[in-house]
Amino acid sequence: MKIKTIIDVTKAEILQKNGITGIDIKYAFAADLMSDTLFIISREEEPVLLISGITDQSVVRTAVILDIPAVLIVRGKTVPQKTIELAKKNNIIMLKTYYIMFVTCGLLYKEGLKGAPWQKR
Amino acid sequence: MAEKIKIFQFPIKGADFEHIGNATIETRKLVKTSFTEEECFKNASFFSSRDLLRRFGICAYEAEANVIIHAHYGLFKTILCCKKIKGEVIDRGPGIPSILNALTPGFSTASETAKSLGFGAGVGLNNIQKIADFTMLHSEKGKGTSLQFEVWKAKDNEIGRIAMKIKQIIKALKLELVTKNVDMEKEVKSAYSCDLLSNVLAKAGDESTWLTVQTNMNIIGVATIKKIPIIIIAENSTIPEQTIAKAEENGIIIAKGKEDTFTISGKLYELFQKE
Repeated sequence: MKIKTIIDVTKAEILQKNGITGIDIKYAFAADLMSDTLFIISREEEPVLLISGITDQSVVRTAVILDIPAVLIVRGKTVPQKTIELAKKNNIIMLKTYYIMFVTCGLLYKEGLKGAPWQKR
Repeated sequence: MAEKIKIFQFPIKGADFEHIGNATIETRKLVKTSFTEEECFKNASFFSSRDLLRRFGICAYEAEANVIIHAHYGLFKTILCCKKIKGEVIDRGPGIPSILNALTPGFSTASETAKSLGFGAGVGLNNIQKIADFTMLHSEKGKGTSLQFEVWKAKDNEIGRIAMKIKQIIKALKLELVTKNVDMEKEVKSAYSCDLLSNVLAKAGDESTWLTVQTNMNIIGVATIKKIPIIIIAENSTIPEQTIAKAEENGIIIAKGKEDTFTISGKLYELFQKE
């Protein structure tokens, strides 16, 4: 799924557009607990979208560590400028939607995004 | 050949929630550039696997978050060599009152600030323990904590796990080792229980564990043909010297158990199910 489709489906707003161009997102993962997020095993060839309600810089850092190319913030929260700057520096695409997390996930799932592969440990 | 080692160090300030993850990202960048630029690390093929870098990142991030949430200040040291990446996080702070509690998933003493940022779920140390190939935690109440973790080259890790399996079997079934030339590097994939040698020859899987009460010399011949690395003798049967000598000659492990074939089989079955 192209970033453009995600924007259309969730009526999202682009906060930061610098990133890997022409990326084709296959999986998504939604969590607010960063420790939970750390358990998804994303691979470079299988780009993952991170859906979160956290607007702090930690969400960007988590994305960097896990090679996640794009982050979608839910519930239309105001994202601090520092977070956007950090995302720009690390080439992470940042989007924001006004839907709540449940609806966002549902819409994207309906459009064909799958749950991110994760390892049971 | 001399081995090259690279060391990176980053200070971490306690309660500095704004910069949580900075040390990890900076270290990750440095490690990554070492992989692509330094001749020595470029040649180590395992570095091409991003999995290693990611696993290290996860552990480092959790460890760093722990220092920021709980301690006054800390130091994050990374040692990079051709076989593994080692992370060392040492801090000065309150220490961990009960390590057992700290390792229990869900137990957390993190502040509300930390929790509002998505940390402090009480699974950090547990995550590190599960993801890293080696962890060591030492803490002194009122002084500080030191955490070490290592992420190994995938292949080394594999051998480690296989060697564990034979050790595991011997330990879990409380077996007595009869042969002295124990080669723990061998892998066991399944098990077969039977006393009829011809049945074993026909049906036992290659490289499996063989459980029997037979102790004559022929069992070694069968084991050699079927590439069976370990024979378990049930019911504490006496094993002739010749059998032991021949087993040692062929590099086959013989272990003895007190229980009967049925009981050992059941325990073995459970063990393989867990694997």
